[in-house]
Amino acid sequence: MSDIDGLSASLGAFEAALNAKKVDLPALGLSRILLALDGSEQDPTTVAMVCAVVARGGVEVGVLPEGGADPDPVVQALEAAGATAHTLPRPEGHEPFQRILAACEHFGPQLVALPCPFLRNLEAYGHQSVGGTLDVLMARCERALLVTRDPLPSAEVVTQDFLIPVVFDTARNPDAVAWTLELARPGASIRLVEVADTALLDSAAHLLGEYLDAHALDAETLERLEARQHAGLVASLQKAAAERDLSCVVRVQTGDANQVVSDLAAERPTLVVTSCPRDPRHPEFGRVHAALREARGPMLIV
Amino acid sequence: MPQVRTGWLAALLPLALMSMGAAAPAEGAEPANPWVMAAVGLVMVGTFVLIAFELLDKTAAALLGGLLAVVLGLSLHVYGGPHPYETVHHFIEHDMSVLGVIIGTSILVAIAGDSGLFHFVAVRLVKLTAGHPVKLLVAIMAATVGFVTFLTIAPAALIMASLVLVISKALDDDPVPYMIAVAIAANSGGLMTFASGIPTLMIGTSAGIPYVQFLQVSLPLALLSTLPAFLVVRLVYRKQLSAAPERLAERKAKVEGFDEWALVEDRRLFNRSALILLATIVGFATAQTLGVGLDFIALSGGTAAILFSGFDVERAIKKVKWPVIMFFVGLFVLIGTVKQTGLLGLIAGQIYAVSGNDVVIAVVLLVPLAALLSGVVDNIPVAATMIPLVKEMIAKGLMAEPLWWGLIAACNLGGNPTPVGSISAVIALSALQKERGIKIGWGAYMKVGMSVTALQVVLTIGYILGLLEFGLFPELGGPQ
Repeated sequence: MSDIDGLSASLGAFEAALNAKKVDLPALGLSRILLALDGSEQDPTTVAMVCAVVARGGVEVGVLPEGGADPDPVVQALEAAGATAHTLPRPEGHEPFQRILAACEHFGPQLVALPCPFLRNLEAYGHQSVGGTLDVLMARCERALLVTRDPLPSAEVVTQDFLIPVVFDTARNPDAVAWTLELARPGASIRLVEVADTALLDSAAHLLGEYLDAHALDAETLERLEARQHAGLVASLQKAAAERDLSCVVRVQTGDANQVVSDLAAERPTLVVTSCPRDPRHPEFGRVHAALREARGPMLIV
Repeated sequence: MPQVRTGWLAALLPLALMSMGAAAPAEGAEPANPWVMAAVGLVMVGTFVLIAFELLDKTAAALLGGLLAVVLGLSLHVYGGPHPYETVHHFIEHDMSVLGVIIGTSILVAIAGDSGLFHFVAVRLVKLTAGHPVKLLVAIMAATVGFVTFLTIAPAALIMASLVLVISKALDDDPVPYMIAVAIAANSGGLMTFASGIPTLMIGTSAGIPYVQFLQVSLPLALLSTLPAFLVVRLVYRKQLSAAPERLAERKAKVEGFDEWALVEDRRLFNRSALILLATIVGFATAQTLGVGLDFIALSGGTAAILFSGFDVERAIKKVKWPVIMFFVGLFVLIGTVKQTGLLGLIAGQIYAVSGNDVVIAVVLLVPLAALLSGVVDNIPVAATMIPLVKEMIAKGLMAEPLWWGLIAACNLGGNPTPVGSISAVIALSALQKERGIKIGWGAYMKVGMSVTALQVVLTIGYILGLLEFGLFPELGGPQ
């Protein structure tokens, strides 16, 4: 046991504080949600999640029924939960994703809630596919997407327990944090996990070969660098969490990003909130897409 | 090689003490077989040499010394009674509370340290200085003393050393003066409360000093002792600690950009750690009234930290400094055996004889001696050796309070003269070398260290004699 064991972690902590660049979190003011139903087994979970979100009041919900879904009981449930709800007129478009995008244009929601896969029960594709509708919406819909996967023991999780992986689309991480703060109720629990992705490092090592000094990039060093990069975001989140009485835990881990997120999401029912570039050619798009495909719980893609 | 220098000194001093004892047995002392004393004494000297020279890991050295002492103790009939080996257990039992405090505080400190609480406070303090070099020096020293109070020396020194490294890089400062300040201020912090330093804990427990008395006697001395440290560092490094007026605004802007909230990993753990730490401090202060030992309070604090922090239990237990615990076990057995031979009693008798039953002379002899020994050998074995010596001197009629407080101060502040005299200096200088490639030589360090120690020894003697003169010593409760 060396006398200076723990020095690196301590240095990393101070470096994070001293190099934290101020991150402004956008103010969202959620007021409109588009709820797309498809008549599948995931609809009740989707409706329950939206009811949990609108319980705070001041939200208008436009219901877009597809696949023979009956909107009337849903509208009643939403109004009972505290929302102003109505059924949207059927928009133009042959494909469901076209109609959803058209509804977004007309209705102007900040958030679109829908089950995944769309117009299929979950067991049709299992966790091998998210279906064509979500494929396209992830690429073209600029709104945040609240996506249902497996059934939830309690839909309250969308306002009570959040997991924010800071690994995908790092430039838009403030949006993910802002959405979390928007949805979280007092007493909610937030886990922000920064992942030093070893898959990326392996690729770099393969490319750079002997120029990459493996010893200089051990797990501790990687985590230190990761913490430093996101210090400003952590500071903004912790301050906001303190103001709103939210519990917030920050973790820094090394590993395969998708596996780390998947393992953490499996620990307990949680809403995974992640940003995603709306460009299928972007490498981060593929990683978020894979995460959604493998997700066992809901995801909010911003 | 610096280690050779201090190593030989470490060997010579105990030998000198032993020769005092062997040459002229103190009046009234029971004569002991000199060969037995010499044999066991040599094991003690050999152990100290191994520690001072770093020829062996110090835990291994202490265990080896303890084992050899037991072998000699049994074969040379040092241990009395119908079951001689049980004496060895008594050596450890006697100081179980020290081990309990180390275990409990190790866990509590590790969890509190991991919460980011102290890093947060440190950055806040730095921001208050607006980047002014001298104010920064004051803040760093104040934070070091404060953190040692709650965390003990090693964890606090690690946090402050890393702060100095990062701050000095951000402000483009020379880290050397700040790092030396951390090393020296940490030893003052060891005087603040009962559990702030291990020698303090050992001596305080043996002396039966109530916790509250620490606040009355030791805390003012701890704070006063930082003054010479600040003044010497400020003087020696006056060039490095100045900044042109045009640079002050730039430094202020940089410092104001620091964001301590980036350090907070878990706010709930943060708040709970603070509460549990405070509760533990209050517990230490009230332990005697509650009729429990400090080890109970420390273990309660550690248990509360595990229960309410969500920390993984195995990970928490691994934070306990088991090498330190085993170091103590070996040391207690070794010193206990040496004491059984009567050697320490003889040495105490010599010091007593020289003092002429005058506690003022005894203090004037004891404080520099203990400080000198602590500067060359780890202060824990020095404390362990001097405790029975002081007890013998008290048994002969010398006033207890000045001797105990003098020993506490000397064992803590005595670590300041050399770069190897205290764990805080070892940590600070190792960190500086490892991260920035800067090596502070013995000469550079001792220029500050020796000056500070000399001033602090004079201050300590003056302080103790002042309390004695004006009858300000609170009465001790007796050994626990």
